[in-house]
Amino acid sequence: MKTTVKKYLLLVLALIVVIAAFSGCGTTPVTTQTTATTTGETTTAGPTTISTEEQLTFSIWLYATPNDYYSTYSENPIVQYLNKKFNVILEFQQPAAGTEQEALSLMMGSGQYTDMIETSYYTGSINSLYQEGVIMDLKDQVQSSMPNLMNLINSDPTFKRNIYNDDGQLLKLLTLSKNDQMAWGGLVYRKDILATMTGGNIAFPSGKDVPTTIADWEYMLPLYKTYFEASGMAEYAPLIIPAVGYFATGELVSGFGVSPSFDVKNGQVEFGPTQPGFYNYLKKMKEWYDAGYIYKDFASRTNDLFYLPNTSLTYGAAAGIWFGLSSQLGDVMSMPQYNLMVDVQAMPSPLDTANNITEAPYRNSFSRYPTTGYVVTTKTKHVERLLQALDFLYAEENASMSGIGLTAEQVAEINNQLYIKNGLEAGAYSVDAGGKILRNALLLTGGALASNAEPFMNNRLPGYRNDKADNDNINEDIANGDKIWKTYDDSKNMNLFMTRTAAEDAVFTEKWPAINDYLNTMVPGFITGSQPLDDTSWAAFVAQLQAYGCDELTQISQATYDRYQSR
Amino acid sequence: MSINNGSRSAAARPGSWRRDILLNWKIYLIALPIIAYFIIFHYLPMFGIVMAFQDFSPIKGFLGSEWVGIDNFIKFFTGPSFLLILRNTLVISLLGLVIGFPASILFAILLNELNQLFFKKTIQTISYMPYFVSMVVIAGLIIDFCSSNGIITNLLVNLGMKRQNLLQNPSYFWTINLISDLWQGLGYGSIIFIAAITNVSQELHEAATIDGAGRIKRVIHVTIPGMLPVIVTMLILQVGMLMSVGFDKILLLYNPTIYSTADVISTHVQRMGIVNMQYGYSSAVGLFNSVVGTALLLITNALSRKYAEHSVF
Repeated sequence: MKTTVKKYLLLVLALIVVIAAFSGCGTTPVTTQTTATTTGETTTAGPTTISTEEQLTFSIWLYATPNDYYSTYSENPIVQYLNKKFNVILEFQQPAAGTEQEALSLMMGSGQYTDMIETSYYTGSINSLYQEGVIMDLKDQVQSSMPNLMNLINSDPTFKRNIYNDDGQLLKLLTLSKNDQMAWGGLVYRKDILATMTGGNIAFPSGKDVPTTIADWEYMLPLYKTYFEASGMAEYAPLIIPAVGYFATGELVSGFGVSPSFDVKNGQVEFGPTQPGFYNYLKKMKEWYDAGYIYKDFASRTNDLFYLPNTSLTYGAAAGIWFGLSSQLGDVMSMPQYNLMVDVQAMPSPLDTANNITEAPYRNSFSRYPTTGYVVTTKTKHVERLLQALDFLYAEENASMSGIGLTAEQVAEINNQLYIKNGLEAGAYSVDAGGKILRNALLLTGGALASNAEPFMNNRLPGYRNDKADNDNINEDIANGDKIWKTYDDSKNMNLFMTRTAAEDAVFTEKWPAINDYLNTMVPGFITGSQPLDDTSWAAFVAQLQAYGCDELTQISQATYDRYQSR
Repeated sequence: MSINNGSRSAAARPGSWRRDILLNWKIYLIALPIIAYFIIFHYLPMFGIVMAFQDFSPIKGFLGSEWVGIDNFIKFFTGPSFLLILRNTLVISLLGLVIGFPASILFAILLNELNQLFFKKTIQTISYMPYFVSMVVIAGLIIDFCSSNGIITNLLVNLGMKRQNLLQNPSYFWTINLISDLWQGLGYGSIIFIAAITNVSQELHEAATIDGAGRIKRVIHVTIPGMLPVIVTMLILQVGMLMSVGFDKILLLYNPTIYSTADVISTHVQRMGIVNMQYGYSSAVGLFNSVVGTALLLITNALSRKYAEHSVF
């Protein structure tokens, strides 16, 4: 009897294991659901009437957006608002922070695309994705389903120039704004240390109030080093640079007259790392590294984001210069409990005046024309419903949702628990009699937007962005930082609206990885001294980059630049 | 009728496998998940090998992607990284084989020679522990210990070395990798050898003692010959995995400044295939890796059969 029971128990267990093993097989869930009919609303905004009776689900790939309030962007209040208003479910698929590029590549490799994909981490050509049939040309769909976006496109020639590619296709939905974005980050320095070390008599060699030249930096760096050494800190950094040895957005290296990638000078595209200015940059960085001014372990910090280098040092008050955020400006990083008052100030890239450099335009762009956006894949069914929901965010009257958040009425309309539980029943903002937008005080810290305010607004979905709120609620430190980080005009930069053809992209995809690998290996090596740096090794470095095909890629970039100029 | 009886009666009639299945269908059913696992996760993906000969595009699939023959292999063999990553892969693997593999055998023998049971068990437990620590934690510890202010760096600075981040100097990576491998895997790797030692006949030891053999001679002439079949089996398996170095650990530890000694075939495949989306190229590199690994396995097995009279198959 016992043996029989055991046999049947084993049999049941085996069956469970077999079923479990195959439970993951089969097709992915169908994106269209027909279960609920909540609002029955019908829009009349566009040229065609779109019924919202049937509830539909749309999957969206987005990079990680870690915050204190929710784990997936599906829970974002503006997303919730769109869900309710248009009877859809916008379902976000987000990888863990730091694994975005791998996760996106795996998804592209598997062929199991989401309906919509955010393209910040996509390194290939968007045109190729279209030609391979992965994404759709939205030109006709936008015309029929997105009247608000069409109004914006027709109102501004530059919107039109950027949103359509060289072949007149509309492949990407972008966030649009009529003003430049507020600068959210750039080079910063600890002014309080300089004041301490000079007895309040800070005297930059340039004679300016803000450090603007290499000579000014060479005035600051020894002061930082002396200060940190005297305070007995085991680990400190007068200057923190990223693991690859340069800021990919161009800060610092731009002061030497080049960018770390392709840049434009007088209409001619050049590859920065092969230019003499880059050699000057490497020599200076090596000199500073040897002098102990650059963080000794920078090259092993491969997992730091370029704008959050070694946060234990920056927030631990053990760094002098780094790539900082606007939210760090002023005295917000002070630690009064330790009697430590910190004063963080913005500065532009320092000019290498010894080599007659007079401007540093290759910097993080805060232009009103953003370079990232969303593509819609060909697997998407009922694309008009997705576009209809997104078009809501392109209406000027709804622009405050991006960058500010919901009003009191909107909170009540969807009974948003995130707002309610955090005391924001009155909404994220109000408008005074003079039309000034006033953010809710709960979302501000020291007069500036609180660092944890972002989960209450929409900064990820495309739409029309109202920057008036930023300007109406700005504090002096951030306004000053914005001005300083935009010291040099960045309009000569290459931008991502310059699109490569499929053939050009094939060459780029083949050659760029070797160039990128080589750069990332050699540049920190030159700085740390593990690679010799002299005229001979520099010539060999340039020759190797050329052997990997950087000249061919420069020609391709020139062609994309020329096509963009003639759009 | 018991399952075993049924099995015996079926075995008595060669060729009656249908009857065997009928008689022992419950056992076959229990084996089914394992068979399904191997088919689904190890055999079906082999069709992906075709990607190595294509300019693979996920949207076009296996049938629609352009056939490029051996272009991906030529690109790899003539590429700037080939010799470097092949050298790194072989050196890191051989260091593990030449130093790590004998170290586990030696450790097992030393443990076996301990008479104090409590001490023996304590050493065993301590030596097994690091194996069960997550690789991410291990890598974090190594990075921290080897930073310019890390505990190991401080120790070496006191011995006269220049202060530096050890993981930013290509010269040190192989040593760091080997020592951390030993620390993490020595105890766990010795388990199978300890088991082999316990199977060595006690009578042989007693006979050797009567013949006047001391401890070392008993180890050389009794213990090691008794372990030899297991040692050979493990050696063959290790050689077969010569091209498969610890990918996750290297990925977590390396940085661009030490690619010259730390970049191996598997990390190269990860960067090219996953990060840069060159699926065909990375499949070709992976296939090359597997073919060489299989060839090494077969050669070692044949040599072992011929000279040591032991083999896996």
